[in-house]
Amino acid sequence: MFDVAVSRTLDVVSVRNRGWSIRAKIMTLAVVPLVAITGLSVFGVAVSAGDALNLLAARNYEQVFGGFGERLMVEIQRERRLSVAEKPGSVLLSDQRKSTDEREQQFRGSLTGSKLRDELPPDQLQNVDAFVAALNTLPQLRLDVDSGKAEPFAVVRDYSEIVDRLYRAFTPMTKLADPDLAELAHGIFAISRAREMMAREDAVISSVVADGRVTVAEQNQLLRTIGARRQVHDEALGSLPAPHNEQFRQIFDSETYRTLYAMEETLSTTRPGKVLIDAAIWRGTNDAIYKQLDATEGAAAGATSDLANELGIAAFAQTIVAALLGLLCAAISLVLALRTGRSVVRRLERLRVSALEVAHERLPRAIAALRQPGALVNDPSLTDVPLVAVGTDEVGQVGHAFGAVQRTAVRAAVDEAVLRRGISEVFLNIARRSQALLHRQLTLLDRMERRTTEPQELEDLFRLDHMATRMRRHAEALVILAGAAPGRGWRHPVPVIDVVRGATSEIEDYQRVTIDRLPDVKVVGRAVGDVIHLLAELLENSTSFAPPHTRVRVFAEQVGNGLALHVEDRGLGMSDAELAEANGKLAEPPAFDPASSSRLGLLVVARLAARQGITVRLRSSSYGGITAVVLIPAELALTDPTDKGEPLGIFAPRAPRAVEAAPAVPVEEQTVDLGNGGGDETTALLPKRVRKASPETAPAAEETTVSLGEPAPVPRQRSADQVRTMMSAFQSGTVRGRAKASTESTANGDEPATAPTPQDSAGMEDSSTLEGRA
Amino acid sequence: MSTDPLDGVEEGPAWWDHEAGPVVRPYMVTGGRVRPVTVDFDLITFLVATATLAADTPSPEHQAILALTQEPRAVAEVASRVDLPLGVVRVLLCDLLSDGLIARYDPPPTDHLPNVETLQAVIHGLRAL
Repeated sequence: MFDVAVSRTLDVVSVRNRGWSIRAKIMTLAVVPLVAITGLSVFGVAVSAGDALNLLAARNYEQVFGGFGERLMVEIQRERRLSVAEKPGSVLLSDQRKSTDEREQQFRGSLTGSKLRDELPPDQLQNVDAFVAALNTLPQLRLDVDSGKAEPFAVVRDYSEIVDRLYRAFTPMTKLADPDLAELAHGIFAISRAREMMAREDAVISSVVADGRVTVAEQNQLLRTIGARRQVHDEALGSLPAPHNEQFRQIFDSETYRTLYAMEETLSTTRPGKVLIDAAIWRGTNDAIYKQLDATEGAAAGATSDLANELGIAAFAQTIVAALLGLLCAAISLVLALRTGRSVVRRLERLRVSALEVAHERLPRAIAALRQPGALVNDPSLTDVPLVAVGTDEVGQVGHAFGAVQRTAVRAAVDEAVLRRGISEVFLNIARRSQALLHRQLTLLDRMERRTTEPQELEDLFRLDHMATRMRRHAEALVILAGAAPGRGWRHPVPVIDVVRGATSEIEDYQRVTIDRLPDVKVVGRAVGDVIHLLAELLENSTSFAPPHTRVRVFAEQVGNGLALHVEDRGLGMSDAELAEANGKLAEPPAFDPASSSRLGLLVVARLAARQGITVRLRSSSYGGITAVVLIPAELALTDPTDKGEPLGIFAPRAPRAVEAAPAVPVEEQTVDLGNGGGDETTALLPKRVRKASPETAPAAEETTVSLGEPAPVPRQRSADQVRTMMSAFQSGTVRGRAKASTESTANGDEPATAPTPQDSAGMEDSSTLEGRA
Repeated sequence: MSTDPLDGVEEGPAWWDHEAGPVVRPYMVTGGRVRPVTVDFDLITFLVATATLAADTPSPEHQAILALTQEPRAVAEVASRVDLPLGVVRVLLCDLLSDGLIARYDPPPTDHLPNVETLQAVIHGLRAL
């Protein structure tokens, strides 16, 4: 039950502290014991210092009362005796009064100067005040003595009253914390008291001796005084500690004291009447004893003072040592706490910083890099995991655990990249196969289109051609998404009009595209394939997102850093957010994600643009639709009119043929064609359409099959055409022959007159004619 | 699968220049049209341009035909020189004809030639002379 409550309380505390930083928590842990240690040590020092201050105060008190008070008391004792022993107005008495006054002034001065009154507790202050009040009665007492009215014993009693008050004020000096010192002080007090009793007895006896007679009352007083003195002396002897009581005892054992004792006996045993002791002897004996007592007391007081000094110094030293020790402990604990705390905090901080860096920067960056197509999965700069924190303690273990998490994440990313690559390769493989088949299909369609003379048949072929062309585009898109280059390549620059028309021919609604007059600019060969595909994707987008009855317009203008092609539709347009998103995708092509297949066209455009350094941006057109602006950089768009490129894209394929027109190849082709049989009218009709049969590809065989399978009746209806074709071929042959004969030397005379195929001649003528035109 | 010639071809186009086929497909040249609108052209119809190259002629192919027919040429010859299917060339020629950029000279129709009897009569007449 209690445990539960405690743990709940701790939970509440920990929840409340959860918002604090670790640094604050650890600092709290360090500060709490530090405060405790400091508090304890301050308390200890205060207590020790209290003792020391107590001793100091006692010393001060002792100076005032033990010094000036004692001396004043001696004078008062002497005045007391003289007041009753001498006649009023005697020189001795008045001298004594003067010296008493002097001592009194000194005492009062010291009492005021020492500011003792401020420090004393109330009960002691009362004693002091009572003594000062008693002192104030001294002048009245003297007047009484001088007038002779007062009884000698009454005078003694009044003086004694003053002295008793002083003794009462002395008592604090014996109340000391240290037991040795207290005992010593007590002993001194007892001796002093004994001496006082001695002096009082002396005063009483002196007055009796001066009178020369003793009454019964005086006798009683004498006996009481003597008894009190003896008792006090016995007590003092017992209370004084060891080294000092020896001297005291010697006084009691001395001859002088025995004389004194004997005289006291004489006085107490004789009957009232004449005094039987000698005044001079009494005086001498008493003074001697008094002096010895004074000396003993002085020695003891000196010892007390030394002891008090020693104790005071010791107490001070103790206080200082305690304070220093406390400070040292506090300092050590502070340093230790700070060092440990700071090291823990620093390591935690390092762990935190590196963990945050890894979580927010390194890991996402590595994973993004691994997702890029063509990323090196074995690249250590991507897959290496930095050690977050070293060490074997808990912090280090957390660091290691974090490293393990990170490694797992990187491994997952690597696996994903490998999987992605595998999928890409499958795509690529299939796409390449489709491409190869489509290429062959288009080649065949090309030949069939050239062969046919029937518009209906040509229309069907055109449809097939269009479909195959679109399929080729889709296969190319797949290849591009897989990160490879599309299949077709050009070595020579191609006019931009052909590039645009090539792109247009690859989309479904190519008839809806209006191409404005375009500038005489050529696109560098290596960019042709990509630009065609890029434009085709944009045109496809425009035609498919705009209503079917609208047209899509393509126009171009030359700008400072290249050629800007505009593809403008009259569709419904896009919202600003959609436009921004599309432009963002275009500016930074995201990695191909098979999970989201929307807007794949944009992704393809972005890839191609990035590869060629082309900028593509979509913006709203004034018709409400979208205008895609394709900026082809100047290094890809050639404006030099003297550039030796193929002026017409449609003729481009033929140009290299003329160059490689070796005599052997046409002969071979001719043989092949003849082998197909004279029944193949189409071949006979337009022999120049026969293309070079590549040894590594199949088209020649397929062509043969198709040719053979083609029905014969169609050409028969056009026998006249056939004749005309023959004549035309013959005519062109003779024209060419004449031209050759006039221009060429006899070195080429070995060429058979009928051997050059019309195809070759056409190719050569074409290039020369067209070059002349350009 | 490993015998596929495409395997291992990671980079670079598979077909260069003419092997890649024409940049502009033939149907694009005519915009999908397959038959001449007004008149048909015989293969031996002779053509001659009545204008020089016009700046605003519709397409490069039209321009090429105009350039070729600066001297009289037969349709078959034009078709072979611009290297386009005959059907396409016919459509293009029809465009140019309707724009008045070329003129055509048809050969005299065979039915209008003198018949054998007439010729023989002529021969006989000559012999009789």
